[in-house]
Amino acid sequence: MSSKQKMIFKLIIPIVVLLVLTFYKTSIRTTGAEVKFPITGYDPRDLLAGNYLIYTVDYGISQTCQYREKKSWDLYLCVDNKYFAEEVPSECKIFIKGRCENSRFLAGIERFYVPREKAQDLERLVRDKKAEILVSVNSQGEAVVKDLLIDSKSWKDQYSDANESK
Amino acid sequence: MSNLDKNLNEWVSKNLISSQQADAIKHFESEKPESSWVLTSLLALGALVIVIGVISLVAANWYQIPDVVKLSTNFIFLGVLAYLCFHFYQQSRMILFEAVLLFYMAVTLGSIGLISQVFHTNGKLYQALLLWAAMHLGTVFLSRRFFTPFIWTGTLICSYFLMALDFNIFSTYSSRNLEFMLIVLPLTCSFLTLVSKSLSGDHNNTKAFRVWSLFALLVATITSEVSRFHIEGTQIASIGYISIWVLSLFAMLGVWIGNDYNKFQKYTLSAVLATYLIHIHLDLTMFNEEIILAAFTILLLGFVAIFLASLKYRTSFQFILFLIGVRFLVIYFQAFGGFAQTGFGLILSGLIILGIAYSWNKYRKKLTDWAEGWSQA
Repeated sequence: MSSKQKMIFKLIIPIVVLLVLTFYKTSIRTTGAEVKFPITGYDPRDLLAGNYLIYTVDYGISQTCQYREKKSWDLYLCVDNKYFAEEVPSECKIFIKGRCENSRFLAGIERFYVPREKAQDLERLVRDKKAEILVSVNSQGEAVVKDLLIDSKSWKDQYSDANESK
Repeated sequence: MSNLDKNLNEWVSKNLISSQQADAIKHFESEKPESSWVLTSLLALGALVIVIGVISLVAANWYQIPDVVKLSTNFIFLGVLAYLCFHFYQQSRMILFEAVLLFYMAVTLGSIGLISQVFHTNGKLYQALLLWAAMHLGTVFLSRRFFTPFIWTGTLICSYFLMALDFNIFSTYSSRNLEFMLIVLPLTCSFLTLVSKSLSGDHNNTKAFRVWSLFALLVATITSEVSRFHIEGTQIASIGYISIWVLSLFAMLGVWIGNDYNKFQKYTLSAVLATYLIHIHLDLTMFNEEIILAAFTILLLGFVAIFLASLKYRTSFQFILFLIGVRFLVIYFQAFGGFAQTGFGLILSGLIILGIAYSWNKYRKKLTDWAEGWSQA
């Protein structure tokens, strides 16, 4: 490999890595199975953190992931039958891969980015109405948030409606 | 009269240059094309206002811009920057190349943030920083300057530090974990210097890791003295404690293997390491009085200063001397306690500060020459 080719290779690597990451996330978003989960405020006083909302996802399962010596470990949540498993739950059609951290199941979908200037209004809407996240899950259990739903409508539509009625 | 004229008159009066040479310099300077700072400033201001306008427009309509447009624009921008890097490098316009390279690296970090925002991922800061550092493992070697590797190595160290804090690798207690992290950090940086040296030779990455080692050493020394880091008997078999010794061994190997330093510098660095190890163990011994801790801090800083002087790093050497002066001042406040805060105490403190400033101004050059001369002996 000539020095010119080496240089091009070194310069292109970051773009390739970011493209792969983008395509991977897009593929989960477009081809994965859609699931809706209700959300609640992790801290009821402060749902808003800078440019995003942070929340607790209600997976409809009363059991929490149990305390262990380790601070966190990998875990799977069977969405169909609502249980946690330490191995891939093969009998589940849809399962989510995550981690148990401080007795909370985290799947990387606990954050929703919103425009800063609309964040406070949106926080109020989420608090006052029924809020859900629309998630796309692939066959490996990787999940990506597709949308934030307020009273079953996309937050953008709900936000526009709320503004029009003002 | 311009500064140049004043300087030339002074140099002529001191017989440093002849009046003919002074005239020649004046003539040369007057023939130079004038750079209009007003025009340059206006152009820069105009460009800045346009950039701010574009950013404001995009920010105001951010959520209405489709994700695909945001991401595509980002990748096109990255492609253009990568091309410009390549172009400037080929044209040997190295200053432009370095500036665009750094900008390209910064934009890739922004791209990670953008992808995170578009897909609403809940990652941690260190994950993004580690990904960024890994992506630019090759890119950073293209730089011929110090600053870019300095930023890259700093980011790598910072992400490692945050990750280790998050995983509580040294202790389940966060505060104890933090203390261990701070103590181990300079040794970890030294280890990374050794790795960098063996992989990339004398590239600026190695130099940058060395600078971070020194910086981490100063932070760790100050922190361990302030927070009174102490190792309890039960922790001697812990992974944190073992890491201190394993990494110290690597640091020592790094100093003695290879030809980076002369014998004097090797001995000085060994003394730095030995003093540091004694310093962090003082609370285990009966010599754990504040004054002894302070003495070891000053001794450690002294060895560091001598090492820097031997490398002829004058500014760094003088900065360490300044720190030693500050530590002496703190000793005075520690020794006299409440008295130092009374009217007489404050007057005395002021006089001591003035004395240090006077001595510093009078002897700093002599001290620098002495330290440099000693290291060459």
